[in-house]
Amino acid sequence: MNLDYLPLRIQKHKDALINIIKPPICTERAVAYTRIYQQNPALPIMMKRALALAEHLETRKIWIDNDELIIGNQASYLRAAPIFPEYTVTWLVNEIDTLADRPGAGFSLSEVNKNALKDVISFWQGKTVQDQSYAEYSDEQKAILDSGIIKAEGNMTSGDAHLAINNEKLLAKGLDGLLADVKLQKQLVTHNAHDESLECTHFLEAVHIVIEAVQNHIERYAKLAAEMAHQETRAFRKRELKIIAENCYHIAHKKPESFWQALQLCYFVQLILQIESNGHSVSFGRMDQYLYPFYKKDVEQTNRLTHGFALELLQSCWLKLLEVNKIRSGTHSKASAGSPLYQNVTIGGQQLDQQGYPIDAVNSLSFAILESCGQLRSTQPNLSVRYHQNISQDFLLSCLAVVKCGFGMPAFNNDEIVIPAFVDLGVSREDAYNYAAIGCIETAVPGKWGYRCTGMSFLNFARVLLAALDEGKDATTQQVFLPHEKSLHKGNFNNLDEVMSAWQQQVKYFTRHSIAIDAVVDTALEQLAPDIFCSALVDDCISRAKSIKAGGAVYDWVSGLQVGIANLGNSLAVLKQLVFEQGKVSQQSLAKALADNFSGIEGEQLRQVLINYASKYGNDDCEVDKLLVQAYEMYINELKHHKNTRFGRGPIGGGYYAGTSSISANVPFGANTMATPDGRKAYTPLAEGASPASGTDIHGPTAVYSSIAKLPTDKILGGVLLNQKLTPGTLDTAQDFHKLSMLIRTFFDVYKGWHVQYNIVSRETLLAAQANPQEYRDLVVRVAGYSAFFTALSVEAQNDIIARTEHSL
Amino acid sequence: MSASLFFDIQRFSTHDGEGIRTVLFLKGCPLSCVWCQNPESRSRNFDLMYDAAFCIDGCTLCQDCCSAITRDGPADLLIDHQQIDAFDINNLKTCCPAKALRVMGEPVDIHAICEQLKRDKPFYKTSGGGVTFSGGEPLIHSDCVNTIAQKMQEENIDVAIETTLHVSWRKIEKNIPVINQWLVDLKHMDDNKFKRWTGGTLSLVKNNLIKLAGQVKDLIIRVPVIPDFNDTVEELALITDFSVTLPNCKVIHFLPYHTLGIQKYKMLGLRYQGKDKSLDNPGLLQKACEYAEHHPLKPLQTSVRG
Repeated sequence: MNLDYLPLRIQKHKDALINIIKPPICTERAVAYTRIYQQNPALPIMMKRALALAEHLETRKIWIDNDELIIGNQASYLRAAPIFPEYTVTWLVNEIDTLADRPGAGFSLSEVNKNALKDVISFWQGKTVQDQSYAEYSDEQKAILDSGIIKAEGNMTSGDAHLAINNEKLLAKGLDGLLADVKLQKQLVTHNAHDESLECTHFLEAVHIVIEAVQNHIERYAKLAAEMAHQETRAFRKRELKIIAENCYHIAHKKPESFWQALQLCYFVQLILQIESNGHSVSFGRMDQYLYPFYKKDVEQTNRLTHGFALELLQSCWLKLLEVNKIRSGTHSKASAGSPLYQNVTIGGQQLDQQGYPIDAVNSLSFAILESCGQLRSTQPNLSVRYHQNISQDFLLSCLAVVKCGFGMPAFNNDEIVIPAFVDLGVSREDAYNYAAIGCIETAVPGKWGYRCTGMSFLNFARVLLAALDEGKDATTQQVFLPHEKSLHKGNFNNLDEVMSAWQQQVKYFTRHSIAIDAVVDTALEQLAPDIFCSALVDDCISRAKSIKAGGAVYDWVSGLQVGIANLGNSLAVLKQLVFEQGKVSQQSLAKALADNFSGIEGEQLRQVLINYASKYGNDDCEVDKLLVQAYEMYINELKHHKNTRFGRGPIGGGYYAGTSSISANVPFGANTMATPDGRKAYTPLAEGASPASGTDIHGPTAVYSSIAKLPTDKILGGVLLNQKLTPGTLDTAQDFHKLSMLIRTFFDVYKGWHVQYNIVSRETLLAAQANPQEYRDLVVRVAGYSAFFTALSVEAQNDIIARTEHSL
Repeated sequence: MSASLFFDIQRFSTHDGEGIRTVLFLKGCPLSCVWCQNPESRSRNFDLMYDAAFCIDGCTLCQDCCSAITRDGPADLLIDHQQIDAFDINNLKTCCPAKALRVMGEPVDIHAICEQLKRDKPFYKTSGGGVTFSGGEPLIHSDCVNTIAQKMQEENIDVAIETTLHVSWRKIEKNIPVINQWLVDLKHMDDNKFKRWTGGTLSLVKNNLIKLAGQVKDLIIRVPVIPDFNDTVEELALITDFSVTLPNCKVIHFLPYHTLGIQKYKMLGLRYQGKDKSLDNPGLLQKACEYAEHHPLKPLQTSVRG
């Protein structure tokens, strides 16, 4: 692997992208969708959605630029963000005049587009997913959402996604093949009339329309490329454009024959999924597996493609992923720092041989993908490596060489825990061995799993605990949702058990509400914004003739995100050790200090005692780790009783599990959380994912691993996010690489760790980048489950990263 | 003789022997090297260490319980270290909420320490690591080292030691059977210079080293490279010349002088006599390595940081 090289055209394309500070907003999609909805008010929703997508694909502006090898644009201009009015227009109404001024998430909007948008807004007001959701919420649910203890904004203001489609099938059948399946199914449905048959017919008819629209759209690109080839004066580019045009004509109908065609088809689909819906975390699944036959034939058997050009194709695709953009509301942008799309590519892992035995699945394309990402050092794709016990040391060291490049990738998921946990859950063995990372770190079976294997509503554990400690009163808003008798300020907790049972009561209450809220949003999405194209590419939607949201997927488990895991454990340790066991701190004095945000000398003295004289999660200290597990299991046990809206409608599962891949939500969630008993001051960030709280893990990574391994990781399938920061000097010598590889192997093999990712960058570099952003425009850091450009983050998010403990190897 | 004290257990240490290790730092050292970057390791007794950066503005808790501490400015304490007695130390152990004022040194509880040292056993196994004794000079606590090392051996955990060998042979000899790897400091070959810069007797070290080398399998010589003390090609060559004569010594490490611990002197109320700049002489280190790697009598493996 040569990681210090980048082809000139790729470098230029990358520069063009990362220097766009305030991308424009594109109104084409919003206008086309609005037009179709206005023209066809009486059509069933499936037909409206299909016609709207078809209309947009037919009329939108397409372009080919930057001498790119993989083509396809999401919006009218480079990195422009389309608007998806069917989900929400509420925040747009409020922010339309100030979009350019949002810190870290500014967008430019021309006057013409602003006026177009105003027309769009006036049509959609009262008709969106968010509007229907709010109309259905009870007052209690609205109050909880307004309080911010539960957040579902991401769910009701955008599409779902968080899945990988069946690329393997797409490549094997081609679009004509898929269309043939749909036509066949249409005949079957009409011949088997039953209650749902009309809806089924609508769905299949919609799929039919959409696939043909996609085919026509690819042909539009073919024509454009051919025209450009005709005009082009540079011989090499003329040749490339001709090939691109031929490729597009071919894959518009037939299954791809070459690596280039296969990659282009996967990209077109990836792109159109993100034009149909603005759900993020649309992931490629196991790209090194399904593209390998093409790669093998072109690069290794026929030499039709050089290794270098294959890397360039991949890099061109990665930059096209970076072009895809998403605009979120100002508040929601804070939870998703750096406007990421989390388009995941998974490599490595295992496959089953003909006898059904697992074997290492790493191949030469796995290395090529790794190398292409290491050279490019971009935020997209989000590269995940599936680790397993028998992964070769050669591949693991190559992964670490890319880690050393310092852009936070690849992240590692562990087959040794994910596969058995999936099998226990009811996933077939073959499917479990075929899992892929989705979005940040969460996992699902590509092409067979419904939306949001994680990414349902967020629950702020720290605020739930504060309510438990104060008669059910939320410290931030002073509202009481579920009253009880005990509080610190009354001093009437008799022991830790009473604290634990207050926590249990409160967390059950909020969990039930979070699930009820999810059900409202899911129903609105199913009724108002079903995805046609996406459903067509997920098994068994076509044979069941229903969308994913109506229960079309083979598997459908989801998870919400729990924020403030470490803060919960550390706070409980303070109560156990300092309040109840040692009596060093009284309940009342703690309550007072929390209410005053540790003000004054006494407040600060107490805060320091809480920080320094009680156990902290992440230090392999059984006492605090056990408390956290106990408290977290109360949540997990409650979850087991709950189902999602697809339960009993087709999929295996239909339930919930836990998840901690809470992107950068720990920062805005912390900003709405008062002081906590672990000594954390009000408004400061909560702990990220399942990582220890900032600066509290003082015994190094082995102790962190040991602590995290005590969590019930086989039940937290929505992801057990562990972020570790290493300074650049820690991977200087071959010995360092060996030691880090052994650290990872032990964490995964012995401790059954779920996930780990490394940020290799020095504190000095980060501070310098904060001071002189213009000089560090290309600095990529790992934020939570994904990488972002550091300078694109808010100052708070930057500070949070800087504050995380550095471990030196 | 008072009980043995330790001042740190550092997990995931990767520069103190093979693989991933846990290092036990024992307190007390017979030498007083001018360049020492672990000043809290030198005394066998408790030390009081004060870091003004963590001190809470306006807090008087430590002054209230110890008359030898007064405030000098809003966030800086004046500590009369001479006046601090055992009674004060006991009171100060848990006095400072912010741990700006810390009592360095904790009595060794063999059972508790062994439990701690065993925690990373899975990491030792995969990486070829284990437990390392360091200090101070760990062998002044030779009984304590012996008991713990014995228990580690029973657990099949690899044991290494970082030592100056500036102790009686008896203390070394009894630990030979329980320690697998010996990382021995050899700082200079000139008796007078050694005495002047470390306060120690070089012949004691050399004699112990010669005896030890005949009896252990895994011996690494470690040379701190200190400006004005031994930072010449000639002085380093003499150390290498001596090292190659030791049977079973195959490896030599050159450890460039660094200043990461300087601020700890101030925190302990001590004055630092060494240089305030780290060694920046890659050429010298490279030459020293080349000399050792191509030594006519016996080529040695080298490393510049251990």
